[in-house]
Amino acid sequence: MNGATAEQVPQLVNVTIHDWERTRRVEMEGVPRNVTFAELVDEARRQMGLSIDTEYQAVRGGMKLNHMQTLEEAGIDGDTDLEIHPEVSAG
Amino acid sequence: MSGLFAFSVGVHRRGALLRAAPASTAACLEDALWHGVLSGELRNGDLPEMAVEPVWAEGGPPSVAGVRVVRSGGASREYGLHVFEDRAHGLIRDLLKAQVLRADDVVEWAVAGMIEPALPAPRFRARASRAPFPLRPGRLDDVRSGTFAVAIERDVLAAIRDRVLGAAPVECAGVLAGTLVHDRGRGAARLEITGQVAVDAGERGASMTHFAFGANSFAAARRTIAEMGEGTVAAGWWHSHPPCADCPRNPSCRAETIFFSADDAQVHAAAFPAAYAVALVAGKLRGRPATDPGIALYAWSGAAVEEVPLRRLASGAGACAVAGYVCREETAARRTGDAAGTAAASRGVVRTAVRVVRGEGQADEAREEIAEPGGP
Repeated sequence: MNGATAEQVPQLVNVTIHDWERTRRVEMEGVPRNVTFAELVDEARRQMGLSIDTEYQAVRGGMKLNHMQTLEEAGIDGDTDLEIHPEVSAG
Repeated sequence: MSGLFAFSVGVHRRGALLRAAPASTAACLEDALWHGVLSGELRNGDLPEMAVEPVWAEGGPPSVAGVRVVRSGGASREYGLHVFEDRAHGLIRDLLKAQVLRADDVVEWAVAGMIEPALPAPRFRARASRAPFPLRPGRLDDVRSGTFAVAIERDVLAAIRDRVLGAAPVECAGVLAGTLVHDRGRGAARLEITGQVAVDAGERGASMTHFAFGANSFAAARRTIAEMGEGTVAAGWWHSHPPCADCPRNPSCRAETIFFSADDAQVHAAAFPAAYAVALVAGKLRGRPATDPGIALYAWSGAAVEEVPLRRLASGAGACAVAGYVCREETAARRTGDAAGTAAASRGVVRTAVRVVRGEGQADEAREEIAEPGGP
């Protein structure tokens, strides 16, 4: 929690999500910290108009985030930037 | 029927639905925006309201014969069922892998449109934006008016060939880098590919028949491209289809490994959705030894990915292709999407030949090759 006390931690945060190229962006305001990354990814994909045929993964600082984890469980206690990357394999 | 529409592809055998899955129309929206900007109808950076409507088949809803993108202001563009072809092939491939389909099965696929169910109220506010297309103004006297050309530097092709030979018999991949020049007066554009960034596979690794991208694959490529100079952007991607390990020792082998699979189409749509993004596939050509890989170019054309012939240039860039997006759409619009497929198994590899019958009765063949578990 980066040393923040419970009183200092906002329950709503702002999340900005980029695609991997950083050409598309979704700004989310007032996101409850009990929202899962799966919910954020779904909304970002819908807003960005990305393919619905593919799974996307939330990435923060180069690390994949657990789909089922909430912002709170991931220790995100303030505004944050994420990326979404497609989970794809060439054949 | 009115409202927002959702579309799904269904695969049938003898009239029975085997599998259905949502089908994306994102490529149609992207193509409509790109076409509007290239032609000068839209200002680069403008994001007009756009909606996708079904073009109903002769039998009426829910079967569709295509879709129509309607832009605020009334302009519209139509797309045939070919824009769903890769999705259908992907479903057929999944059915083969699951052994739901067997040799000599005949399958049909169709697309249905339906009113999109209302979504639950969002728990937060969300606003989307996107960067304008990275167009640099310029004169393109050597590009036909109303077309999109691709030029690839010889060094890029040589670097890819070297990487492919070094990685064989395992697939390898990378991201292409380049700039995009737009001659607004002629409604023409040219993607000039000037570099490439080979990337490492993700957690699911790479083999002779796959290359899995990971979070770091894309992030590393973006960072490298950002250092290539102002205006240089991700222009697409490349990957290899290596022949078998013994092929280099057998110069007379007639195998050919260059094609764009349903998996490749999914990578392109999900990771490189920009209308100007291209893909290169390196592999063995029938008439050349495995030690001299060939490269084919695939590009968006009317919201579907199609192979575009490359030609060698006498000087300057190594190869050039012109995707006549206007002409190609006219061709595609004649397709009815009436499709039938057959599957046959041989030597551990399942092949399904999907016959797509066009409106004028011509047939062309799209082939999927799927390695069975434990197969080559």
